[in-house]
Amino acid sequence: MNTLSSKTLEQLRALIRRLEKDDRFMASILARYQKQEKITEFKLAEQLRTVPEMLIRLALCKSPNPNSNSFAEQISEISTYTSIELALLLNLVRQTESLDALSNQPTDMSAEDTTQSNSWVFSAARDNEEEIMSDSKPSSDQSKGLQNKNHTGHDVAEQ
Amino acid sequence: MAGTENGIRRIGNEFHSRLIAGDVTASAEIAEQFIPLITERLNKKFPNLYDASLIDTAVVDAFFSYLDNPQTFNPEKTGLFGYLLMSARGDLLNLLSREKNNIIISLSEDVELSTGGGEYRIEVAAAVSEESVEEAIIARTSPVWKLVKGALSDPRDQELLNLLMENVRETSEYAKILGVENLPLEEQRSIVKRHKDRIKKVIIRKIPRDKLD
Repeated sequence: MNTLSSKTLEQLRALIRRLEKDDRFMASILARYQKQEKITEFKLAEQLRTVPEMLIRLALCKSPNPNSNSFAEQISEISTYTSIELALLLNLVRQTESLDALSNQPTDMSAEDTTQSNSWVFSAARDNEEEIMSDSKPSSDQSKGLQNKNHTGHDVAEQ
Repeated sequence: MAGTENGIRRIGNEFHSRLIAGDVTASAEIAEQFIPLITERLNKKFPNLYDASLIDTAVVDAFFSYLDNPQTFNPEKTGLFGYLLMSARGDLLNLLSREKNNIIISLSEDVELSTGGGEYRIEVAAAVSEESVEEAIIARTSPVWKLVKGALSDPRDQELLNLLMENVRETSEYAKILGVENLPLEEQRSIVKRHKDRIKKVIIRKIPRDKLD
């Protein structure tokens, strides 16, 4: 990641700004999390124990689908690709989606409906988290060999 | 070279397949790997844009469009890299057309480009491409280009303007047109500069500013 020029990083940031409105991308989750927490990009990087440049990589990933059977696999892949601890990443996704779900509830929803809905959101996230944490442990090798490598092992810049 | 192109095509299509299949990191990998390469290609293709950041914007536009709707790319027709390159190129031409109605080159550094204290940009069209003449056609058919040419009735001035368009910097080339190539170099430079400045003033005087800004 740090082999990219400052110009390329600026282009990637510009792309991310456009993707922030698209829930299909992590850019959207990160933007919402920053808004919820009222924190800067640097603070977010600090919370995720990474560097701002790696946040760019994270933001460009697709969002894992909490309703999908492969949620655990998806978030684990992102964790590996960005070298961000799985638990931190999971917590960020879970919190953002949960708070958004709460804030998006219709105001005329009854107290009982609200409780049930919240309960569903949190239990779904919790179930996924338990599944992920039991199935997948981040490897200490995660941060190695990321530069210029794609998942198929190709090095495009050297082709 | 062909091997490299084939390699890029294969990698691009693998990226695309993964993206379509729901791989969550494929989008990041595509952007990270291809944005710098495509930007570099366009910079080589359009070396004389007055605002090189238009290339950066066009590349981002192309990637955004693709990531928004990757199904628009048909891997049976072309490679992903070629597709994104063509898409970015199209976006760049649209940007140029929309913003200025022409393609712009930087004039030689010895032509003063200021008037009335404000920065003035002479928009003359030129595009050089070893692969395509489309940019040149767009440039030459631009309304502003026609205005610029029309403002200079003297064929010799039009030849000088052509050199400016081609971003020719050698004094000797201008000196030949002006018939002063046998004079001492310093004198040639002085005469060439005077004519360049005169052409600039003619353009400024005869062409509405809103056509140039």
